[in-house]
Amino acid sequence: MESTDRTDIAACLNGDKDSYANLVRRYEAQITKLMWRFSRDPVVCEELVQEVFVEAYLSLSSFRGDAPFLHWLRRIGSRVGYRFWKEQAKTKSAVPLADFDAIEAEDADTIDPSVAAEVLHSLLARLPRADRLVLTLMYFEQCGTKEIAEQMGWSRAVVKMRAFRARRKLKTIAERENLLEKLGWIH
Amino acid sequence: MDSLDAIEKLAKQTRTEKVPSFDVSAKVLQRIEAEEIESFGFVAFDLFASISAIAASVVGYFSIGALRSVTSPLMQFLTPLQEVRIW
Repeated sequence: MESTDRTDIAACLNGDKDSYANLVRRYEAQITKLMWRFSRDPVVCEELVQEVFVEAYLSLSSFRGDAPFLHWLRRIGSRVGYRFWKEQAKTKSAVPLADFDAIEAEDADTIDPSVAAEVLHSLLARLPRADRLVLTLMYFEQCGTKEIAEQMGWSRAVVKMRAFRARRKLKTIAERENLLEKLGWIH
Repeated sequence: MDSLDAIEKLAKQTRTEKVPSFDVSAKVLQRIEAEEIESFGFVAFDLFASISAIAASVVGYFSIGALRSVTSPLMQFLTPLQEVRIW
């Protein structure tokens, strides 16, 4: 853990809120990037980022400092996002892939990243919550099974099994939604 | 190409996406203060409830003793009857 983090956390535990503001400013970009994977609505995403930092503050005394502070924040972020999906599950339905325009690009490297993210987000939204989380962290955040297991408090075997099943489901969904037709650049 | 390979390629592109930036520090501090005020309210309520429970226990302890020593005014009418032989 960085010494600046350690100093700010110690000050914060002594009641100095400005130190916590420093921590928030230091990590808000990384946490925003993570929470953007859970909601692509800027207003909702900002609320989720706030939620992560508020939860982190309220449980700051339980932070042991064994791992970097960012890892701990990311763990809280994944859980906040997972809970958000649970709340959203009853109200929101996924946008069908047919509603997206054909992705026009010469090859995979020239595709607009935000368009790619929209399509991927829409595909993943059809999966059950736990499967969606595993693949979201794998695809968007390049997390390994060990990291996901640590973040969510699941066993590594469970994460591996979920990833395997989720990929199989995702493949079925992608084929049903004619993903390859949308992606003209794929040969 | 397999659908999953296509998804892997999409994911690779997605990782370079520019995400919006927010300055949440002020709002976070505001929410923390609100949470602390709320939790202080709960603590005050808990304290009040605890003191009330203790007071009720003390009153209950003494009232049980008092209740045991209370005799009904009707007993003075009933006591002679208890001594009467019916047959």
